[in-house]
Amino acid sequence: MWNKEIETMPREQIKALQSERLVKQVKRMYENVPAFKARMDEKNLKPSDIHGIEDLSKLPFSYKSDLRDNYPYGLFAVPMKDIVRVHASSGTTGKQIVVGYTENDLEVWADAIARMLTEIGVDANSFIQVSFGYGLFTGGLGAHYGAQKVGATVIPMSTGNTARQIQTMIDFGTTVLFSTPSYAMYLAEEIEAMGVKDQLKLKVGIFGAEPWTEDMRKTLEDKLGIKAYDIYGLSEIMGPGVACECTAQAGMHVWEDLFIPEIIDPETEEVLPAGKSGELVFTTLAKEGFPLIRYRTKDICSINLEPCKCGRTHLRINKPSGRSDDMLIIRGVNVFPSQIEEVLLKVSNNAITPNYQIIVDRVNNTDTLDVNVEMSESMFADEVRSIERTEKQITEMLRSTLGIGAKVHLVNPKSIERSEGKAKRVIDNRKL
Amino acid sequence: MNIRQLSIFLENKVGRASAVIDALSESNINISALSIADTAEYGIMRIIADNPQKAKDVLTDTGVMVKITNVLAIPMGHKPGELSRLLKILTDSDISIEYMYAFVNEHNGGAVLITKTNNPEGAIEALGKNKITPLTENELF
Repeated sequence: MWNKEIETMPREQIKALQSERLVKQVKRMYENVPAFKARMDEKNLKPSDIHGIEDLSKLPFSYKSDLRDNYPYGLFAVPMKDIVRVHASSGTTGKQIVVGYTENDLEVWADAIARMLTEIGVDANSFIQVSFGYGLFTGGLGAHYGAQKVGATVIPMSTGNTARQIQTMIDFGTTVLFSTPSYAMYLAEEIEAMGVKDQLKLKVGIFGAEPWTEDMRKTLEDKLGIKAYDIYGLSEIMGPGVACECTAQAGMHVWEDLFIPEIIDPETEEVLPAGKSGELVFTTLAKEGFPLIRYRTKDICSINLEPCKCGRTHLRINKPSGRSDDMLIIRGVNVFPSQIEEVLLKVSNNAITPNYQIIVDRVNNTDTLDVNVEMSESMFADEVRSIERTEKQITEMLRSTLGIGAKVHLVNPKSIERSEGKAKRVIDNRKL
Repeated sequence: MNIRQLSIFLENKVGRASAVIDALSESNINISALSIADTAEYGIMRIIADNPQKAKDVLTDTGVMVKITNVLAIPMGHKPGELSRLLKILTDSDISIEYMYAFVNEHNGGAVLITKTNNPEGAIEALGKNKITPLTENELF
């Protein structure tokens, strides 16, 4: 184990550590984050009312919209001179959300990933190919620093150029692959087609950033000759490594010295007991730059308190089974229907948003995104080039807003199916 | 001296053109000329018909996107060299053609060129100098 003392800490001790950290963090946020203080004041709460984790449910929730309202740095709890890195991800509107890290936050993040890597047999002798995107997305750099932390040889490939990815695996002797599961499926198929499986030294795959199934796991393990592990994370809380599987492959451990997970009923906001499925809520305990209290992830899953075979005492969460909002994860990128709506509103010059429908599918293991847009009076013209201009404008704006390509289809007015007068916005044909 | 043309958006799906034509036929609207501009994704059907306003209302009711566009209907003889002569007149006056299509018109034993140009007034003037007057809707039907 990377940190045996922490990873096998008796649960009573974990709870004591959480209480101590929570009390300190609430005080620090109250003093340094005006938006948090305002939320506390609304509830007539003072930091002195919080004595430990038993008081957690008294604390106000925080939401993705808080990040938008305080864009870009309004929720940071330290001066900007102490922030050494920012990352960003999709917001519910065109504006992205920004998260910040202190030097220590980056250390803690790398450490969280190092705990996982050590458990699944990755060490200084490993060659880790990071095929998550590098850049503002937390995947690439998050995995990178975790891999470096265990002393492995890091191959910072980023995404794309499949032929080169495979050649690199062969030539550099890659033993561990970090990627999205759908990209791994694509790689696996190419490797099969090229007939080069024998030349690979792959032993372990760590896949995350989008939903995948047990069937996909089995296929990946067979085709690549690896053990495939799930990793969970979200930028707001840290990035990949918030929760990760162990060799038992039966749920992802949440490092409870760093985070408190809760499951709530998204409607009543009541905290649910272990085993019950509901919305996952996180409180960070060790983050300096951008701490969050009771952050609503909108992911639906359940908590498992049973002791794990691997010997770790930290609880596990099950693979999220869905979302309590309308967010889609397409090719690892978070997409909200409202972002698409915003683009269409701009194209129609802020007149009436044309009716639209989003169709997501998975073809040859790659997610596809099609957007049907009902033709409106203002979009239609007698000339082909004018319609093509509109179509191209929508396509380009979607690409720059969403960060992934979408195929736009202009369709007849009122042709998108409506139920009770409301158009069905999203059709997800992926079997996940 | 413009006439009204129906410009109809067609999704690239089996049966879309047929649905448009059926709706017009049920409303007893007579079509004189028709052309389709197509792309990989959709098409624009252009129709010259009697009673364009009624045609537009009928199509709009069936959920079709339709606009009325003004175009020129230029009479010409139904014999070799006629279209060439018309185009030369327009070209010499520096007028660009956005699109055109033509049909034989039994009415006057000749043919008609339907065209949309970048400069309708200029086109009428240039044709006038050559003693050609575009047809009105009354003359056409």
